[in-house]
Amino acid sequence: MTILIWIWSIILSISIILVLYRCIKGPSLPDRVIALDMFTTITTGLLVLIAHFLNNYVLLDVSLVYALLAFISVIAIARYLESAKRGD
Amino acid sequence: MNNSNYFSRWVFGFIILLLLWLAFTFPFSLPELYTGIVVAAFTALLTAKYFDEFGISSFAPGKILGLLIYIPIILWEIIKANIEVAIIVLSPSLPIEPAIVTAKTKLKSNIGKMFLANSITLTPGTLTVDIIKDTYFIHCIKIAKTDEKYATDSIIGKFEKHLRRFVK
Amino acid sequence: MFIIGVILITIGVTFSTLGALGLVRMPDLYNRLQTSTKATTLGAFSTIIGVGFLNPAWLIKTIVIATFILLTAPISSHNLARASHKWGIPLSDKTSVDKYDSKSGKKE
Repeated sequence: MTILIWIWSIILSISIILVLYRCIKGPSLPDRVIALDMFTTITTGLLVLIAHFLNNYVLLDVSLVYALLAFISVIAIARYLESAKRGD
Repeated sequence: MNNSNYFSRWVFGFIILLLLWLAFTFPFSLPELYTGIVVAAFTALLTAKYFDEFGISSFAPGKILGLLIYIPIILWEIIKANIEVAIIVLSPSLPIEPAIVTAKTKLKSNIGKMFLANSITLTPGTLTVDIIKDTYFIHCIKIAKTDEKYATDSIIGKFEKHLRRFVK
Repeated sequence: MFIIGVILITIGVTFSTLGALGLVRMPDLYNRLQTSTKATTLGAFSTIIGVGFLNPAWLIKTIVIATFILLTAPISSHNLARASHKWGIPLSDKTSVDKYDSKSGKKE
């Protein structure tokens, strides 16, 4: 069981590295925001996996609050982009 | 749209908020339940004037049954579409023909349009960019024809007939 | 229960990785939104529900988290797509038609 959780976590970490590559390289600002949005979604899944690994119920609450804050911040950034002038 | 009175909206908001509270604080104790009842009643009182499309009538058995039937359908569509997109991503030549097309809906209420837009966005390959009145602007990753009738039939058709069971 | 959980988590991890791959490979922003955020949404959804099956005492809580992700992901990607179109991100060269004019859409 432990070895399976290790494999899953390593694969998820690789996908997080791919996302961070886009976040650093991304030609425009919205590209980076999309990468960040995706980063938070993957991290939520990883947090729940870690909660199972450590058998810690509190981490589930942490992941719920994390997903909530990520959603609100992405909405706020999108609203800001809609009204902001383009300056790159 | 203003089809329910204040009290009925308040009852709707109270029940939904209380269920949410119980789900969030899952292994709940009695004090938490009391706190939840007070907080849900107060919040429902504050927000009742904004949710004017809901009421006690939203809990009609037919509507809840329609929603319960809709959930497995949308999950199946999500899985099917995800596999299609996975094939596109994995193929070396990236066979995509993207386009932004328009499609018309017959749904009237805002909540129905919201359900439809979220369903379209959740199935990968199609993404709702904007809604103006009854016209949807949909970005497709791969579509054969770009005229409005084809887009309406192929993208909206499969969700709309199920949605009409529980929203206007 | 254990087998279902393992299968669900494996599916979820696979789709998350495919979504990340799509984010790197796709040519323009809108296609990236298409493949990435939603494949990742199914990935996270499936992973979280899978953990619920591995640990049945947590099932209700995990379903709440997964449903929350499933409900909010389309809203944020829809918002980002519209904001990017108004911001003026160009579509890729392969795009055949763009019927959405965000300037005229803003007036109504």
